[in-house]
Amino acid sequence: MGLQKGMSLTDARAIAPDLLVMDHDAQAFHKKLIAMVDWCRRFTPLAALDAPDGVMLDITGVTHLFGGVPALMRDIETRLARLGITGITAVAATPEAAWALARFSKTKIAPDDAKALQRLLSPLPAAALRLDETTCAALARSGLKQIGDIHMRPRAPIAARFGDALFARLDAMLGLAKSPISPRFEAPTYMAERRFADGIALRPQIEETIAALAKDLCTMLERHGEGARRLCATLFRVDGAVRHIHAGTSRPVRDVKSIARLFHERFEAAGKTRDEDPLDIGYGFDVIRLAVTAADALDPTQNVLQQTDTQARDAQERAARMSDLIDRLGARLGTSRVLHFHEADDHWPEHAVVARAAARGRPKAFSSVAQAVPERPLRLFERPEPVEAIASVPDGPPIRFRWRRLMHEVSAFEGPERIAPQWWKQEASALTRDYFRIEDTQGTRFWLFREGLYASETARPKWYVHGLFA
Amino acid sequence: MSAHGSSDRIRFLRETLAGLEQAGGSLASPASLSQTPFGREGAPCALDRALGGLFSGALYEAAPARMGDHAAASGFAFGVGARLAAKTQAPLIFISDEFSTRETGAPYGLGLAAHGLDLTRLVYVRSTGAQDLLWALEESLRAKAAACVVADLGSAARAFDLVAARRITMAARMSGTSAVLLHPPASFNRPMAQNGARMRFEIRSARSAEPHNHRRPVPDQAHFGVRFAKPGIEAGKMRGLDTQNFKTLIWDHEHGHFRDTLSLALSATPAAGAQRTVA
Repeated sequence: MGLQKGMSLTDARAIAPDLLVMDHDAQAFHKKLIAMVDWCRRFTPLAALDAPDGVMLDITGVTHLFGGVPALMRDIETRLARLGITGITAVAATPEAAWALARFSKTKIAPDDAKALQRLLSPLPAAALRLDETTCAALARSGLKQIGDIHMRPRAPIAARFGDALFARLDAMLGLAKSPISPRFEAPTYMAERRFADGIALRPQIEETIAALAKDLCTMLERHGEGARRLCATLFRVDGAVRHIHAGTSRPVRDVKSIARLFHERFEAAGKTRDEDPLDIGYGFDVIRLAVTAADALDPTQNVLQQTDTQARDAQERAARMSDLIDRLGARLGTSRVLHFHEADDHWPEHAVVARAAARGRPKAFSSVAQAVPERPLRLFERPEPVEAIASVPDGPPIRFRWRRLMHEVSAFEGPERIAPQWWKQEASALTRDYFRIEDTQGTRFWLFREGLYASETARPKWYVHGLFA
Repeated sequence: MSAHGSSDRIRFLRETLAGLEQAGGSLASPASLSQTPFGREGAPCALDRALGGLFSGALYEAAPARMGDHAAASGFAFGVGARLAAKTQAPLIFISDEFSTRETGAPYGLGLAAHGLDLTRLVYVRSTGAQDLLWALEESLRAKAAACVVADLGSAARAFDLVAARRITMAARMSGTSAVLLHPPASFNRPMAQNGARMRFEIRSARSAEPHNHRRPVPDQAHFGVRFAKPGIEAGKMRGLDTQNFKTLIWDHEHGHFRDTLSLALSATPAAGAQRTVA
């Protein structure tokens, strides 16, 4: 119709009066473009965002999978068209040349021969060099309208006037200098995928596919003596949406069953947030890919030779089952919910022990220092609960106290154990605590403390229940 | 089908199920089940004499008698877990509902260590919601990885129906991993059908032993009052067993076993006497 990029709206309206006009939402467009990059990873693992309007694919060594370069380009364009996107593809030996061909040339596939490539690029406008607008305008003013005009002239004067970037770009385009493609995700070391003529839309089928892919991966991993630490399943939906599902393990894993079960739990966990359709399957997935994004050495374990040493073998097997269990629980509940207790170098009761994800390794045995502290309660309240306590003397133990609306008579006590705040860490507002172990007439044992030293720190010390003993 | 026919069928199924259960679960492998005493080897305590010890692959339930006894009940449950894990050095898994621990207090690492648990072999799972808790419990049992799974049901106790109980019992029996379920307070006397649990305990904290030599009383460690019943059997109908009275039991955190108060009193008396003669 003659509509062009950069045209004023009035001119465009004059040509097409029923033109639908909308504001350009740069952010949404960028988001969509990133989704497109992920979608393009179905063709090659090395897909890079080429802002503002392009996607750069490194198709080295993948074209034969799609029946050659022209077939691949057709495939991409028809698939894009099905998603309602008009796409233009171009293939060249260098990213810069491909960029220029896609936007400024009628020939979309660059020849391999360097001379022929130069001939092809020469008539393209200087804008094909992807320079900023001021440089382009300056070039046009000097009569350097085409790439050929620049290329055939002596370099030094042009470089002196327009900057080095011009020739850096030109050299990269012609393959004289190398420029890398920085993909959005690194190519995984191990990867397996299945393609389907039609989208598969059933959970069991998807899980079976994951298991089959895991089998392929495990063969590869075994050949290299490695095990997976982090896995990523990528599900390409028919309508272009791409979903990544990650799973981590606490030890290198090379077991098909463990990997399949891990993803089963991840899918279950995904189901909790979206009730009716956990994976958001829609019309189904037509490409499912499983990749190992991090791997560690995993030497084949030698099963204990002597049959007599059954105990050692049992322990070994149990440890393996335990870490599998930790992974599975972590996959469903979140790794921060499956914990080990670690000793911390801190005497303040709340901070003396930290709970860390069990997937990050087993804790060391508690030091003698930690074990030498006076008895600590089995249950500790997140926040100390205030109580009303009556003591015979202001800095003495309580005689009775009211906790959760019930009066408790103290029948035995031990203390105080004075715990001072860490003046080098906390603000000055933290007060010294005097802890008492207290037993009431029912036999319930409390860990009470009085906050603040009488007279020197506070005039009215407050009492709290911090924990309960068995 | 007539109503009469269906009730016949249900009775038949019940009988079949009961038969299977009596056979020690022919669906499982009973060969792997082993037995651990509550008390020290060679020094059985009252519970050993009554119940024959603790069994692997069994489901135990513990309920605090009163609101404030939850810590005591968890101390008892951890004791049972530690007993079961002692022989094989296998891990112990503790599962609790995150929301409920705000009410009852979260497990405290130093306290657990002081209770005699090996924290290098303890995994603490914080679940959110009843379904997740029961799933994590069943999964942990099926994994054959731990000696015992202690689960603080909290608000999930309402979701723990007969179906869930059956699943848990089967999972425990198949794997040989025992489970101790902590119920909410005062649920011991609630009538409950036979849910497959081997035994149900009611725990209350007990007063520390009276000090001798007129010393000032000091809170002692982990004294429990324990009574037990088998779910589905009316209290008082268990042959030759006292299910009414609480028996006092002490958890010896240093050596990792339960003992009766009686043995303490016996051992304490000569010592006290000796002191007196010296003085």
